[in-house]
Amino acid sequence: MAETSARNRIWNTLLPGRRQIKMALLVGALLAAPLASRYYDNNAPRSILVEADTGALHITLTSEMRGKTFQNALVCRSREKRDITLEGAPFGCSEKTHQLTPASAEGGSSLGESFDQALPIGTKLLIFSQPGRISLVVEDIPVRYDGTDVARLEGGGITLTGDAAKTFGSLVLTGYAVIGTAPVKSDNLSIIGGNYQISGDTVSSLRGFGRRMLKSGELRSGAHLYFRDRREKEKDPDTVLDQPAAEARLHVSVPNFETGLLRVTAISQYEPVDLTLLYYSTEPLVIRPSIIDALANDPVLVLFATLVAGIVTIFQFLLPRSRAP
Amino acid sequence: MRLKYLLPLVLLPSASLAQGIELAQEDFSETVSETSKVSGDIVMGVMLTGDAPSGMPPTIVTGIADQWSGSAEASPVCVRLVSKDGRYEAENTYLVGAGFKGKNAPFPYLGIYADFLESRAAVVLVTSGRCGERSVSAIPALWKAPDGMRPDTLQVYLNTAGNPASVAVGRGDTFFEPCTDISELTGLKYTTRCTIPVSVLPKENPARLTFFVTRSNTEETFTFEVLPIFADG
Repeated sequence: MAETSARNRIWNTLLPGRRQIKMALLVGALLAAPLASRYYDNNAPRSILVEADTGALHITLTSEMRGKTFQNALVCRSREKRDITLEGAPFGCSEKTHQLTPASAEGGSSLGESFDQALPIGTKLLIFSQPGRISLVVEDIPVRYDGTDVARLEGGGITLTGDAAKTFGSLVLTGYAVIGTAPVKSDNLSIIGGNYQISGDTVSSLRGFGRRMLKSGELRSGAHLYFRDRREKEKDPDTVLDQPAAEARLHVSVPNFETGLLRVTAISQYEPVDLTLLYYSTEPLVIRPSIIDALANDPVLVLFATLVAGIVTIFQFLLPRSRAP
Repeated sequence: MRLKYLLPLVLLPSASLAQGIELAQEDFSETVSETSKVSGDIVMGVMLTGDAPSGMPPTIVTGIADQWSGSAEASPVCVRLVSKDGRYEAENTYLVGAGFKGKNAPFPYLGIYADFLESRAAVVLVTSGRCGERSVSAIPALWKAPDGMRPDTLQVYLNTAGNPASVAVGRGDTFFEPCTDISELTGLKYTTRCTIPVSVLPKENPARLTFFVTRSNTEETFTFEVLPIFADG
């Protein structure tokens, strides 16, 4: 007892008002925690990787779609003059306003054309698939291309069927994308399943330990999603279907032609982004790593914490317990 | 609720009764749900104004049909109001009094969700006859219109499941144009807006509008009639 009170006297001499300091530190920590968490949410860069099987996706191109040749493609281009007396819409190509590749319109599904035209930046595409069919619907071409060949694709697009669909290969795109489709677009299939991984820096990344996976999970059937930019933009936020979006790089393929589903792998830029998931509801589900994820997944911090905990345990075990008076 | 919305609640019932427009049923029927409701209808709104959210009071005004002023009996009119996100729906039958006279026909909003509607895109569909009847005659409505508005376009809002659509007036000789895709990720009620200049619509007879919806492999056609009753704000 005398030893303890002597120790207290020494501490009180060295640090008068220790209790107040402890309180101040506790209050400071309580206040700093939410601020640090908010700062991390808004400013910490991270990269989101999504792999999804879906029947449709939307994209607004931020890089030209170039270098891809679609063989035996059915191409739907606008007519010189609309004709309301014409009827039908084979492969979604309205005869009144558009015209399908003539050769294919006459006969089989493999009499299309070889299409290798570049689609410019700003083009809005709907890509959807059905068993035995892949379609790229050109929803919008920027007005600066009015009067050009590529502008004739607006409202039309490219369709691959039968054997032509089997030679689709893969498609690489960059832009603001929505993977899956909203419930109101009931003619297309949305996401059937998939997963996501979010990686980012931790404290030890500053010492060259590289990025770590901070969060991962599964995508459920019926979802549609996009990457959302956390940063406030003063003018003209980049949007996709009226939502502020972050750029994504996409790899699109069709691994199984019997199901006809698109396998989409999307990766965001390394910047403050969220994964926004929408289901049949009104409130989006926002997924991002928290500062706790960054701390809990840091290998050095985890090792350090384990060592400290071990040392404390050992000391507690070895030190003599205080005796009862 | 803001005070400005209490004024129509207090004043409009008496005003509308004086003008001869009242609810056919006792209570104003409206619902707000937590989650969106998908609609199976195709035409969701026929308006002389847009659907943009606005802080203005939720007023619904149409012009006056000849049959209303010339009829010896009250004429039923169905007024449907839906928000784009699908969370708000109202459907009410009004009775327009026999020999109704006036510059315009105001259909009072007697609900309690004016604040809810303030921040949401919404459209109005006014059709002749009671709600539930298979009426295909719409009366263009002014929704949240400022005073003195002189609309020059008719806006028809469609639920085409996100598919492209075009519209023709009559046989398409004078007007045949594509409609605009206005899909949103969370919008569920309507996806397409067809804009038609009032100047191409017939002045005396009902306008027969034909809509062509291009689906993935087919074309769907349906017609809709709009009465030549155009209100001024």
